[in-house]
Amino acid sequence: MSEPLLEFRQVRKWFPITGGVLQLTIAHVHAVDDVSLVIHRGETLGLVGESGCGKSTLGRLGVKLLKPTRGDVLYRGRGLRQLWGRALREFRRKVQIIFQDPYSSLNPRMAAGGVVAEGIAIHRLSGGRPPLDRAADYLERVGLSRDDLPRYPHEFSGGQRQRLGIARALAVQPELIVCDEPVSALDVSIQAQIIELLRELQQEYGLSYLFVAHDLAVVRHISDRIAVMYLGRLCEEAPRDLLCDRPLHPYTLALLSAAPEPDPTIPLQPIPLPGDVPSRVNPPKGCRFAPRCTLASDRCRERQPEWREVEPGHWVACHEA
Amino acid sequence: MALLEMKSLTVDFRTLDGALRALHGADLTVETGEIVGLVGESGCGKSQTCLSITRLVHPSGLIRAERLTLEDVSLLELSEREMRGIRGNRISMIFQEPMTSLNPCITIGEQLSEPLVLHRGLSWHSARDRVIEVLGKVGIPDPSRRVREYPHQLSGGMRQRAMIAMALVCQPRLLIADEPTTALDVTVQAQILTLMKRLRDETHAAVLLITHNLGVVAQVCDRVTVMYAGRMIESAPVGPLFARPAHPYTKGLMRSVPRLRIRSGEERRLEAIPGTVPNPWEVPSGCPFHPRCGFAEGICQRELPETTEPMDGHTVACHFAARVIEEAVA
Amino acid sequence: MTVERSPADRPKRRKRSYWRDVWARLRRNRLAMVALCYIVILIVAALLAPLLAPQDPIVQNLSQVREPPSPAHPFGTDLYGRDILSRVLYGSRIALMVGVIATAVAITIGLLLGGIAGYYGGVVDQCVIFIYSIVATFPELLFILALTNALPPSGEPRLFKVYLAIGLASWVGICRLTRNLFRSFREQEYVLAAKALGAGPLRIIFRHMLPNMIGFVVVAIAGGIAGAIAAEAGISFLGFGVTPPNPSWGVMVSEGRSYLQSAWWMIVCPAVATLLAVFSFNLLADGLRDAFDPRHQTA
Repeated sequence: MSEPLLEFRQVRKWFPITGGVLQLTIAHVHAVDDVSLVIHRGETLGLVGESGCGKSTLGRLGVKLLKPTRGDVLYRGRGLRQLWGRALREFRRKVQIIFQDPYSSLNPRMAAGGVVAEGIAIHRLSGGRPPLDRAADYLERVGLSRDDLPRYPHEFSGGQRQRLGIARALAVQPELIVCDEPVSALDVSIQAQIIELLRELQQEYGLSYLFVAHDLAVVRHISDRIAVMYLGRLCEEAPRDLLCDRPLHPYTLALLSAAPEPDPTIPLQPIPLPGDVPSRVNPPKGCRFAPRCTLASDRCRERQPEWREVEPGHWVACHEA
Repeated sequence: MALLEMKSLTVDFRTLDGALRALHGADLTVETGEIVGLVGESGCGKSQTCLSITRLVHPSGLIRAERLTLEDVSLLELSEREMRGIRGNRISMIFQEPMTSLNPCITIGEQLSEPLVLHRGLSWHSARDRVIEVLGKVGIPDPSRRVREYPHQLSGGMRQRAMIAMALVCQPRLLIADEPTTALDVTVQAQILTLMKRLRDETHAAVLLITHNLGVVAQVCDRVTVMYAGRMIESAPVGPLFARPAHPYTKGLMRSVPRLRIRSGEERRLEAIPGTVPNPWEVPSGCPFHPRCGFAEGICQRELPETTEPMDGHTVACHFAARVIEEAVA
Repeated sequence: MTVERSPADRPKRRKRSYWRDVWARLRRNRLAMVALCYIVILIVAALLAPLLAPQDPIVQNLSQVREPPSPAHPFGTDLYGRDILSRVLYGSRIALMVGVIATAVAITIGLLLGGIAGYYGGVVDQCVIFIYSIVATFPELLFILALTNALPPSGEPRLFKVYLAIGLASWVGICRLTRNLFRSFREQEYVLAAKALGAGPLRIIFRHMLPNMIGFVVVAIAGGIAGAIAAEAGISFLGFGVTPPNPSWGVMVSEGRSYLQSAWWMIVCPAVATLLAVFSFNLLADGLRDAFDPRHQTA
């Protein structure tokens, strides 16, 4: 197993909610609770979950766009909390992020060349050549052209803008890229292009990915390992095929059964999930999934299940697994 | 007699830069009780098609058709007032974003009662009973309490069910659903899809389902029409469409969608369709798909393909459909 | 297996630069264009006043006191025999100077404080809010009055002090606007992307935030000029602003105060000039706001 690159150690992120006349903190949104994950060099960890599960928040914690309320994120063994100055800049270079929305993640007043060259300029990576020249190389690598250097984001299609975002991340020669739902906002045929582009780049540059998405089929396709989140907590984590073929957590099972297969001969038989997703402000005591779980017992409602390794590489948090 | 018949429908928009044709000669038939899927990517014209049926296209758009009838009544010849009598009544629409389609300042009960009061002349009071009944039918628990609540008090899935209820309250003959599950979580989507199938069986309403998600299409639709650059390029029952697609675009789409349930041992590469969807101002000559097509030859750039019917009920617009069908999807 | 870029991959059709787009949208707004024309006339009048004015605006000529409009004096003469047209023309200089200088002062302070408050938030934000809340409680006119008197050096040149005072009294609006803009832009995804890239605050502010705020700032400038002209006219009318014999429009209206019945031209001409100037800048500000907002497209 190759070296660990990015590690989340019992990370918790709570957002305060203020209220009342004095604007005091009255409650917290439990966006991420007690998450521990490791991403190794050269691998892709897929992070799956539905809206509100905290996966995007975790992604942003991973690039230090957010600070954990408790716990820490470590890069090559060094906690992000203690990074500042040059070491922080180095981190920012090595760990990058690609966003979901190709429309809001690009500065509308910055030309494509500037977008890609900015990182090169900040980290002084041009090595003798003008930054725009290097930027052109990266544009071509992602499937755009040198002629696109002076063009503005609004002149590109959604897929092309996403490529631009990838070029921006690539230009600083990172080791790990957090991909926050990079294809969800794109057309189907473009999704495939971008996914394949990301795979190629991974091979060519030896990149690692934290791939955050809600579409299990996409995640299955690109990941080596998959982790499932629900309401801020991890449910299950396993190598890709193991998770999809022999899932243990009831939520994973429900998620897998709900995905419609593009094949009319394989009918949809979703496992029913009664009720609604509970609020993240006052999460249920005990197992977060218990209110909607068909297997739930009293024990499940009382105590938070432990995160344990039931077989090599396969982790679950469930009393009944 | 089909429920909905559309023949050669075109939509042209007046813009500052000239006339823009968004739909080129669209043909569509929907029978009672069937779910027809309209599939395509952004800009293919699927939304414009359903807006044309209810004549809700932007005022700068001109709709022309050889035929556009609902139960043999020509929709294009009706006055605006008569159309209002049809919308929400004989033809209903549901949209992608339930939060913006429901008025946040009015209770669910009131919003759902409105079509009944308007179209059936019911009093608000008797309408309420029917509303509670319909809310129960779409699977909203405790409907008599929910009637008094506001949209923001319901979860995303509940809101979408409420929207479906609102569309069904007058028992329409045709329900047009424009990407109804795209903004929903996958587990909620599964519930809504199951609901739609059940409702179709119970009410025999026909559904025109617009989506870009092939999984949804495969699981819910009886027949499918694929659109590209404002044209309908293939149309078939759902089984044959997935098993033996006749158009290179359809085949390309199927190859580019990742599958969750892979047969063991298979390591499939996604085969992406190269290039991008053409900008409506710069549609390629001849077949609009030819620049991205692996089967394309000289004729494809020169001539627009005619629609042919290589198999029963399966139409396609491609010069080389036969070759496409032969090559298995694999 | 690189995905090839096919001809269909070319970017969208219309390739207009940002400013050309704004200008095109502004041109379609008739009212704004009329306002712009008047402003241009005003600028020309101010620049060429010495050439255009038939007479010296300050020299008195007691033989032609209070004469009604005539070919020799298109706007008539005032109570000291001075040609009103000439005074109005020279007055446009004062009006524009007030507009430009006062607004420049207000923008500088407002942008700086608002930017710091909006970008850093927290304690800094609270301090700035505290400061401008206090400034905002003073009635504007009185504040300008007090400042004009308090500013060093005492005595003359008073003109400049008036301009400065108006600027110092009106930075609050721009400060608030800037603060809110910075607060909302701070959360934009492309700003986050720049942060993740390692960009420092200066780069983020100057390369990512400010260029996207230019539209708002330009609109604020146009509105600010309108306000400054109106403010100067106001305090000069009261006698506390620009002092005679300077031909500020406010001063002229003040001088003609008692002669509304007998020599209406003494009031009406400078008053109308002021009105048109303020009106035009406000119309231009509205037009610019629509022009900068791409969502304001009409089909």
